[in-house]
Amino acid sequence: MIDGLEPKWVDVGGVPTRYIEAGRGEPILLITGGNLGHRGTPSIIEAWERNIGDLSKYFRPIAVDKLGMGYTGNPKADDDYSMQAMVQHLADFIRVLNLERVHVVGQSRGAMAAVALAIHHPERVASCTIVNTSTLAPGIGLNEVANAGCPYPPGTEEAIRWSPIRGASEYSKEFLDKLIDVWRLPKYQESCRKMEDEGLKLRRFVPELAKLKIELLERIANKGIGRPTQVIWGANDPSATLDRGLSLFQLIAQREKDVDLTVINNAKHHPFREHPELFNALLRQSITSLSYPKHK
Amino acid sequence: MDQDIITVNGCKTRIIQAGSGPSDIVLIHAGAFSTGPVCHNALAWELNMPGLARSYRVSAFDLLGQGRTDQPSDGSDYTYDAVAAHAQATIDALGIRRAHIVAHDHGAITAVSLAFAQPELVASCTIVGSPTLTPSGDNIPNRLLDGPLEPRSSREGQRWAMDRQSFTTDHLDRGRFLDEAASIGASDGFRRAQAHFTNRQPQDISFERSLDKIKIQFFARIRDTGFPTPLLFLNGNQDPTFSTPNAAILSAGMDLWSPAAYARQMFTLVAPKQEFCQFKLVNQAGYWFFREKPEKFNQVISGYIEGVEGV
Repeated sequence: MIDGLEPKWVDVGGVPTRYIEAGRGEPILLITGGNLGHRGTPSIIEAWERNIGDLSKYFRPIAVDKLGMGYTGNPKADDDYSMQAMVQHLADFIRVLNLERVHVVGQSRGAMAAVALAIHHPERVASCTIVNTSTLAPGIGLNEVANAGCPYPPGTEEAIRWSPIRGASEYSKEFLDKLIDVWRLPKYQESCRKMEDEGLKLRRFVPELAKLKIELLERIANKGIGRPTQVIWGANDPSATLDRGLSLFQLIAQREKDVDLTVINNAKHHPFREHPELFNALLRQSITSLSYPKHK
Repeated sequence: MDQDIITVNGCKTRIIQAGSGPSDIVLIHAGAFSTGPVCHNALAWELNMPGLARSYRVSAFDLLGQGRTDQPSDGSDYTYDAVAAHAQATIDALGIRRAHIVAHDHGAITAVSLAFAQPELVASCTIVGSPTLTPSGDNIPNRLLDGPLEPRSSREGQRWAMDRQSFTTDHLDRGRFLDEAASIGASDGFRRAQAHFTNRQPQDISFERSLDKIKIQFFARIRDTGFPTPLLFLNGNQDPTFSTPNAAILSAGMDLWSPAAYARQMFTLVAPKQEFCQFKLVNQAGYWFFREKPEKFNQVISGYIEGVEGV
């Protein structure tokens, strides 16, 4: 539980979907990383526990467990084990909550979802914040390298605790316990079985992800993102390295008038957890300074 | 914005202040005596002060030997050390005990001097577009301002230089800065500074040496013990005062001297020993980023200060 906030549930296209919200004002959609059915990286909206309370003083932050992730239900069809379906689920969530326009903030795999929302559903997106993402940045991610050599069998609690991308500083024992709670859920184990044992990851998820990445990077190179954008990058990320943050920023900067890059020192893959004061202040100032006419 | 002339250790000094608030921001303009293409002065910040003044007490002043501030009374004080000492005394005279320092280009030399001399005074340091503070390499010249429009210190001459340094240029005729710079360019003080540099003995390189000395001290400090305060390198992504065609040729086509490469390099040097070090690139902005996009600049400064103070 974050700051005493009870998680809420909503039906999104037949999928029970868990989210947390607080505050009033312009909605900010916080999107975590991770992809469904991955034995090593369950993810949950509690990742934003150091941001929601502070941001809720000025805005209405909303964090939602993505399709198949955290406590949200799994995709109903095998074909929906894809990033495209996760993006559609987020777009449907925005519609179900009747949010006119949201500021999307996405990290890691969540950053690809944020940019896909901005490009495919521009009418619902006011601004876009991209945080350390190998998934979206041009070039080759080093996740495999950074996570190579795990001394524990895949899928064990020890393996989940071990991930060097997460690092020791930002993932407390309490938080890792929450991840393990998710990992133990029957529905999560089922998604892992489908993705890894039945091969949906290699047959479906990864090829579709590659397709979406190419499409989004082409769109970015040709037209930018089309919404005010900021890139925030932890400088010491062993997976999404700083070079790739700079490449992504420069690619966006070719076409996007309003984009900036902030590099935060002593931060790895989760600058919003590692330096919440710096991160929250950046978001507050950038979102407050947008003077978009209210959408009708 | 309130303007005043105060006397600091016998030196008449122009100050501009605005706003109130629990935190102080001190803005330090660029330039060094009469050596540059533009007569820098505190009005450079005129488009930023009203916005920042809504949340902070903001102070700017003309540095020693520039703008409406006196020239050094002693010819041996045409140095960066004297500029920094005067800045420190001015901040003290204004009763400021702790401030976020924001410095443009050459002003960074004063800012880092202040942070070394009085770390308790400096809450944070923001270096805006400062080729002056980069490692000099073999001083490969940036040819951006070759063939200037003469006379250089006229309004037209200075406008020509600012135009070439900017990414967007509508700021050139906003506010009073250029008129003020032209008026300073025609002033007795500016002529005195020019005369000093024209007439000095060939062996007198005290000005250049003072820059070298402070930079070397800075590089040693960030490597060995760490910069004493939080530090932000803030750059316009298209600042043309960084990239030089020569450097591009010498480095086999790689854009090593771009603002992004500079910011990254400086960050890489500082980051190991200063936890609160950041760099920031803002797209479609040049050397005069804070005038080209004043609202954006103020947003960046506020976001940084708020974050540093929140820690």
